[in-house]
Amino acid sequence: MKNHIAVIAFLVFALSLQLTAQSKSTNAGMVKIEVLGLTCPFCAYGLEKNLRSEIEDLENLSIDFKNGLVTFNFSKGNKPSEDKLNKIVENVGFEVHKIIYFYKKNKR
Amino acid sequence: MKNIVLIFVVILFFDSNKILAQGPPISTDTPILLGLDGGGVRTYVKYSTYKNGRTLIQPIAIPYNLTTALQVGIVQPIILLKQFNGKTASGIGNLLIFTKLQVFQMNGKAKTFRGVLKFINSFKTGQKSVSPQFVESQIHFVTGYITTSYGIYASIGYSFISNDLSDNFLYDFSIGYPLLPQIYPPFQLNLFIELNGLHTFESKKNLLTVSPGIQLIVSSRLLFESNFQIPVINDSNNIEYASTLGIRYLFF
Repeated sequence: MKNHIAVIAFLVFALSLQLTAQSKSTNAGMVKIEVLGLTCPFCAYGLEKNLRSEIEDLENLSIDFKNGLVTFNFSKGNKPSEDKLNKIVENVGFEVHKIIYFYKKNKR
Repeated sequence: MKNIVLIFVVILFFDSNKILAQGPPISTDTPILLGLDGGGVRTYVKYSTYKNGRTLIQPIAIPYNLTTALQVGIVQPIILLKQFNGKTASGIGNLLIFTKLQVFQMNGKAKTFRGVLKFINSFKTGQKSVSPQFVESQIHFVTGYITTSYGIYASIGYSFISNDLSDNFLYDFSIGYPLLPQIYPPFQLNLFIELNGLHTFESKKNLLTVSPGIQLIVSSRLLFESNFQIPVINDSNNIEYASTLGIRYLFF
């Protein structure tokens, strides 16, 4: 019986940790940046490094070279401003053409 | 002795510049000046075979971006030199300092056209057994039109050498073609054909090599490359060929 209680307590604890982690990383939306001058994957490392260091909880970073698109998800309260994104991209030698934000609909 | 100096000169001219570039091509510099967000340590190991011996060179470069268009840094080569007559020497090579200044940049979707001025200075800080005992200053203009389908790179440069050695004119041209679709994180297989030339003013001698090469990029920080430099103009007749196996790694 004691063992069962210990297992249940552990499961509840693990579940609460999981829920905490999920709520922290819940994506509030996605940003799509059209970047000019992005030509080689090896050169995009600086861009990834800069984005990850400047934007908290950045997730699902994707770079499409053919279309010059950089996309990633951002969490609640961590939406990067256009100014900030412009600065990050220009700091690593590229240019921003357009920035589009997509937001998740809130369930009611 | 002259042969040794020539090998050093070839190492200095053909190899040291390459570490200043972050990515492709193999023996020609690129005008893309990213600097890894202003920091990072880069290195590569290059094994080459020449007519009179073999060299193993590992330059370690520390670049720093002062602005997005201005980069400075130092390069410290470590050299192992083995002559076919049995003599071997190894040690620290001459320290280089460099500055890269981007003079223009025109970007489009999946393409870029850029130009960079590059200044390099070497100092007699290396061990005598593996380092040329002269001070050298180089100025280069490096340009390139790079798309996701191909890259065209070119550079011209002038090298001022101290002592009574002749100044040199350097020129490079390279075309690169990626064999695999561009993805991120990178996994690339690139083919290159490169021309690397050197004109010595005093003796009016020329060295021009053609280098087919292949480059495998396995991650954002690690690439392997190999090329075979074949002299097509070789007035001094001191170099038969140079085969290269290189590994480039970005520490940060």
